[in-house]
Amino acid sequence: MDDDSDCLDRLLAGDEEAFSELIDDYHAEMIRVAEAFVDDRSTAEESVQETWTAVIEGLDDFEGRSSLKTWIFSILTNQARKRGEKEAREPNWSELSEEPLDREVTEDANRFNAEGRWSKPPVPWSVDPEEKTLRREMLSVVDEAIDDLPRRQRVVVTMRDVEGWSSDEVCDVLDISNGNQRVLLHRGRKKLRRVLEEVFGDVGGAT
Amino acid sequence: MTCEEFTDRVTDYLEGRVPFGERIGMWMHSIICEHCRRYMEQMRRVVELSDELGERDEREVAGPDSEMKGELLEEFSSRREGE
Repeated sequence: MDDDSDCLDRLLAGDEEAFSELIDDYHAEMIRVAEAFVDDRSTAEESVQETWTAVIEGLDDFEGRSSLKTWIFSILTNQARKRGEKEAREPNWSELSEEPLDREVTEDANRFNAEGRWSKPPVPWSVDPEEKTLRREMLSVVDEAIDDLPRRQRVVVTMRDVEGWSSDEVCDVLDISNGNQRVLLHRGRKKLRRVLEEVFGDVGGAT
Repeated sequence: MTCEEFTDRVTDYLEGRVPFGERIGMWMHSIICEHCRRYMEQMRRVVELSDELGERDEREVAGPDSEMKGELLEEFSSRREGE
């Protein structure tokens, strides 16, 4: 936080070097996060550019109640969300946040019997973790599978697991509860596990 | 605890959000159930792979091109000078 207020002081004083550092620190990460909201790279880049302009315009009104990072990514999230909704591939964010969260939890239900025991247990993955080509392949499978997640799950998985944010940061930026965040994370991870199982599951080796 | 209940709680477990008693229950269940043990391991792998993906992208996604950065810096300076 000390770094933050130091940086903010320099920004307010018009220190170009400080702004340059801010861009270097966050620009690429902003593009990756924006890509979780919108369909293509160029739209993501536009949202990031707009966000920087909004940051420049809004600096005087930033009161330091959140961290600089949270503030910047909240602006980005709003920009990217709006653009994502215009593309209208999926129902918009606010509608989705009204969706009851327990609806999807038992989507693996057909893999359990009436007593809640596995009827189709998880299949081991035929992957030698030392094998570089396979590892690369797994990464690209995960990459694609994340792209295919419903938007809210995609955004939460991207922030938490890909970018390594804390749950508090995700909740602040997206303005959702911690419980809600965990449900989205769980659903997203579950789907990724299933995709990996489909691609790398070693059916012959199943016990 | 059933296997279905176990799998529903795996993320909460990894997040450290499962209360102590239930945590013990999950641990005991994972000792007797190899399927749930595997499920937990695979969920951990999913998290690791996403993390690795982030590292890969960090190496591959470049910062802003210098033209765009230049424009932003100019925008910043003229705005601050106008104060």
